[in-house]
Amino acid sequence: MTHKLSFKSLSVSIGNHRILHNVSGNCLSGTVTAVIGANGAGKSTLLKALTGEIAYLGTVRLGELNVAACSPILLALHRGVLPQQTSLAFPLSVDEVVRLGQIVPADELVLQTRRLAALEKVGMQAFVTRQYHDLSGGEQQRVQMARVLAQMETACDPFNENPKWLFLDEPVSSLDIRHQIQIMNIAREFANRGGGVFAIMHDLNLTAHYADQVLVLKGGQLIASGSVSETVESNVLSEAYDHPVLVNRTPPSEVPFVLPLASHA
Amino acid sequence: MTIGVSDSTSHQSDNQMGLSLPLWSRDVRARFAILLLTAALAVTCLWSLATGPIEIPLTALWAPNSQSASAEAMRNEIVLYDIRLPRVVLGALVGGALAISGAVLQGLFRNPLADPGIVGVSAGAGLGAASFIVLGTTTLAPITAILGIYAVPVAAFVGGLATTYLLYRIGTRGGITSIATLLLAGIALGALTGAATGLLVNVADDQQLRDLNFWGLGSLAGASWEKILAAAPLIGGSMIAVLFLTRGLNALMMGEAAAFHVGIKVQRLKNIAIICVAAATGASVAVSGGIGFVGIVVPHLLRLTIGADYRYLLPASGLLGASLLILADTVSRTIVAPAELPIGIITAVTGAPFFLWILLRKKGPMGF
Amino acid sequence: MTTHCFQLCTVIRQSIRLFVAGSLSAVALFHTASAEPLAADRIVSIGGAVTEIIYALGEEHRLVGRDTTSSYPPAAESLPDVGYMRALSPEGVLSLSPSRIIMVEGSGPPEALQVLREADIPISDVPETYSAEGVLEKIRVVGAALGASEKAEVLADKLRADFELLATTRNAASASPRVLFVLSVRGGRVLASGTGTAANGILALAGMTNAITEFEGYKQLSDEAILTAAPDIILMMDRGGDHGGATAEILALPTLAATPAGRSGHLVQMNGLLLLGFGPRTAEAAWELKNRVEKLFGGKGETL
Repeated sequence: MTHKLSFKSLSVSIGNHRILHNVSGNCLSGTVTAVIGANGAGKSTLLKALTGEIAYLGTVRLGELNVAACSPILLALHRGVLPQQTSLAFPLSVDEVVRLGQIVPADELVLQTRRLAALEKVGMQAFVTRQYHDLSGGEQQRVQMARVLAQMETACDPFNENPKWLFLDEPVSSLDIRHQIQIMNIAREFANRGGGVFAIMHDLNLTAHYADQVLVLKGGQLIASGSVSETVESNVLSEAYDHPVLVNRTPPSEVPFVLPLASHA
Repeated sequence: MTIGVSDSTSHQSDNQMGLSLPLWSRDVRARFAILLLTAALAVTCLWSLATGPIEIPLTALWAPNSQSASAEAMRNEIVLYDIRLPRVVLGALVGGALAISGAVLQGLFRNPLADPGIVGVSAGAGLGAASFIVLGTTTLAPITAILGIYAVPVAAFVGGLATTYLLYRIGTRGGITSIATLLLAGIALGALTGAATGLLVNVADDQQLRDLNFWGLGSLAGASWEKILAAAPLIGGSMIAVLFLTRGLNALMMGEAAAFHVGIKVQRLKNIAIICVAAATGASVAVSGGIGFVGIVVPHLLRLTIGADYRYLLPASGLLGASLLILADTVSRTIVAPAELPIGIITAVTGAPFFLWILLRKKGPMGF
Repeated sequence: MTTHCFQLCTVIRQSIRLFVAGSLSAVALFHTASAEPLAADRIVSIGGAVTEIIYALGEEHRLVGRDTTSSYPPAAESLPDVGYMRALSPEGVLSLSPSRIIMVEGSGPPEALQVLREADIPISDVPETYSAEGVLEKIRVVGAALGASEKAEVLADKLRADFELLATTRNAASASPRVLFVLSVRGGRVLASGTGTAANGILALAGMTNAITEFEGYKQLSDEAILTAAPDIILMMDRGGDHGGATAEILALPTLAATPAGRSGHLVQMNGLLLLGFGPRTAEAAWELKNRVEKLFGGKGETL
């Protein structure tokens, strides 16, 4: 069964400043949707509106749920959010951080097993008793990913067959190449299993590799949307970033390959 | 979900052995610590009851309504049931309330240095108390006539709550409370109430100044069953209520947005936490004056030993805060016997160097 | 509401009692039971003047405790100190097994007094008025509390004669110097006495004019208020030790130096408890003050 994240005529203003202007779109479960655009294009604001974190004009629906009318806990049962980076006010162990994602009570042994499983997926199981504060930025990001996975795992209940959604805000910006691929693989896998993934991306090449649908934002408006071949394309990207961009294709799979032109070239 | 990310796990597998043991040990350690603290509180209570300037042959009190109604037996009974026991009970309530309130506010403000005074309770309570200490027999005499000897504690409570309410109204716009605004407005309101208190100090006579001074240093000397009866429901009720906030306070460590994303009603959490802390601290300050350091030192010490998880931190803070305050109070009523030292002096004199020692011993910012 | 509250308290007390008594029996094993018997005549004196009166009446052998303000006669300082008169510890007082507490008006805190009353300790309240009649009244009340009213009458009569002599010389005096009583000088800020204080009372007894009548109690004075007050004499408590240096320092304060007192170096320092205690030595204190002031103005000086 397909499940839709749909938003219509979405506008967000902060003070007199309009950050998102009349944005509409649909994302399907089972696919990875990437949002790209220059700094200040409104990507994070769009994610905040879709997750219900900030007030907006227009409508956002997550399946049958009207996001604006949902309680935080109902939303949390249907979607997880990975922030760009998360610092803790007080020291917690890695296990305790992952535990923060487990919002449905269950037998502690079951919960513990799930936490370890989630950490294993991000390759952090050996860090389970370590202090979160002592980890590097990339390691912290992977622990947070495990926390979101744990949230999606505990949120799964037999009476609710609806797919879950992952919202990722620049999930790989602080990661090395191997872990970038690892996190994107997890996102891909999540979508393959029927979940929805909505990710803000800066790395256009990773976007080209992993996204099924790409939304291109500029100045708070949606200037293009569609498949990778429709959007990761020289004209669209050059306009989106106000900078000439060259797009080639890598030989084996013909995935687009983006090369921004240096200004002196 | 079974997603194999085989390439990244293989080289770390050698670290995996014995994983579940240390994983459990943190929970086990915290639970053990709570058990230990409960036992410590019981021992402290009994020790405090048995200690004082008067040596009481405790066996004489074995029989209730002792038949030998000698003057000595009567005096001992009064010392035990009207002086020491109320002080132990009030010490436990106040110490627990201050430590738990400190822990809750530190979570809310995401700052280990937040203490109950940060929501304006202490400043307002100080002003309320000062008004009645100085003007209780003149301008405010009609109110004093109704409240009797409880005029000062009632005024302190009302003053504390009123200030918190005002601060909260200032910090809340469009249904959202800004913690930063709360903090800054608290400084401004603190200055205002400080000025008003200063004005009262200016018109106070010599004896009233001494009273103000003693009030500011805090003491459990005025403990009575009436005060306990008035403070216990407020303190008990709000401290039980905050125990239900542990999940939210834990999530708030990641920030307000992330807490919302894991299903926390952040604004409701703030409302409940501030109301409970204001009620409990207001009641504590009203019955015991200004007792510092318990609210900061106790949660900090526990974070270093059992970790920051609020599920364990809150009950442990309550137990340790109660024990420490009873301990300090026992010292305060015996060290210069038959006179008494204000408890605030003892908590500061022992708390401050200890706090510094913790900070210096641990490396890293905030001693973590 | 109060009675209801009290009943509830009693119920709680009774229920807690059994539990505590049981728990304590364990602790009791470690305690040796050694309470000294309650003597019939054990007095705790609260208030410097009260203690002085008890000594003046020759009843000091009955004292078992005193408060911090009771520092005269020096022998009193060897008695156990139950703390500042307004911050008494009920258990501390009870630990002295008093048969009676004699306390000056204003002692406290009220909660402590409540417990002491509950313990059936008789408390004698001694009124505090800063006048000659006030001192006599104090002596009579303390005498009655000690069951030594006759001795008290003798002492009161003697003091009354002293006060009457003071009044005669007061009336005979031609001029009444303006005196500024300075409680403290901290960081150049002058805390001075207005009306309604012990200092105001002793000035009146000594036949002098308080330079400040604009307010009650002790307050910080502005520089201009000091100049307007134009005192001929500055009166301070003597904190013991270096008189010379302190005197020079105080008179060197710009605002004080500009007053008539400052210009002529008229500073009088006297023992605080003697000057402001309003006890049996008050007539003596008024005489001493009067004489020292007269000496400053070149007078002969008389003794009582």
